[in-house]
Amino acid sequence: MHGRACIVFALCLPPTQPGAFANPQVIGQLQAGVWTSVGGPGTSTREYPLTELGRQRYESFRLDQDPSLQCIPPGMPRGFSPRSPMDFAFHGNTLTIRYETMDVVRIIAMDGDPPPPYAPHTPNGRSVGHWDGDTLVIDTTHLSAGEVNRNGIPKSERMTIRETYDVEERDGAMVVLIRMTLTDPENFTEPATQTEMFEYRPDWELLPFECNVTEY
Amino acid sequence: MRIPAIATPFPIPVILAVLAVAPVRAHHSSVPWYDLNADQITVSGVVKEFQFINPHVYIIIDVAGADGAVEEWRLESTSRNRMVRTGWTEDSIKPGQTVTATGFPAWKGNGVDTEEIIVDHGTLVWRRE
Repeated sequence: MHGRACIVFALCLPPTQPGAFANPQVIGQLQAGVWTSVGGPGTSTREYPLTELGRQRYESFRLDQDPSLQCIPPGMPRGFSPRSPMDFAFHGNTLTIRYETMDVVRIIAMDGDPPPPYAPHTPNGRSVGHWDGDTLVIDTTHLSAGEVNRNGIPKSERMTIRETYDVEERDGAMVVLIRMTLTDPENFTEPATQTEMFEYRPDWELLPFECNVTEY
Repeated sequence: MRIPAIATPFPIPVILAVLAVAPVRAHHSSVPWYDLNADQITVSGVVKEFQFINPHVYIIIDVAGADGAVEEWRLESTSRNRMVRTGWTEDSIKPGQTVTATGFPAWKGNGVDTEEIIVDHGTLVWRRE
């Protein structure tokens, strides 16, 4: 009897239930086209509370070790470089996010199970997404060690990333606010957060990057 | 494709003008190669080569010093894709044209991380956003 009531009143599921409220309108907005970074008040707050080990790693990083200088995509969270245009495509239970810079492609398993512990650690890690109301939430684990940014803020294999995406209208333009929380017990004393704002550009399309290694 | 390094590692700079302009950028992908805390410099010369590529666009110019000696300079800009969206193409600059560029000097060698590029005294202008 209880099961029948749940079928009839399916909308009474709590908003944190994965997939419960995948709003087609929001999906349509995200898939509308290319989004590009814009500045603005309250965006790009980046402070990294480094542990002693994190500080040592940061100070020992040489700027010319930046993998992007060799056209090697540095992976998340740098995969979503604030300067890189990107787009979204939902297909069934898969979300694909493409970033123009370095031709990076991320695959997000919507409502997927967490990856098994033995899954390999990779630059972009393993990402699982779900909807919390109209907010797209992406959790990423299994990252390989590297750098959070080109200045050498370190990331370890224990880093996890939570991203939330909210589509809003601001000053007549459609924007998506992306909030990231980086948790890394090896390198950060507490989670580090940052917020980026991207604007919808209906007249743009993603262009191939075709990176060239530069010798200095 | 690999881009050759500047041939002369420690040349004497042939700087036509030096401007005391405060740095406006906190960071850039070229940080290892340019001193973003230095005063910006301006160089002018004749285009030898225009490399319209990612991740950065380069203009190679010949700069004539007061003594008539010519030195090669490499001007670095933003990505090809960003310049495409402002209307630039691989034909925007041709050898023989005059370019004046302002930006941050390379730590070594004749290089500038450009903030502004002026072609043929203003027929084409690019400024970093």
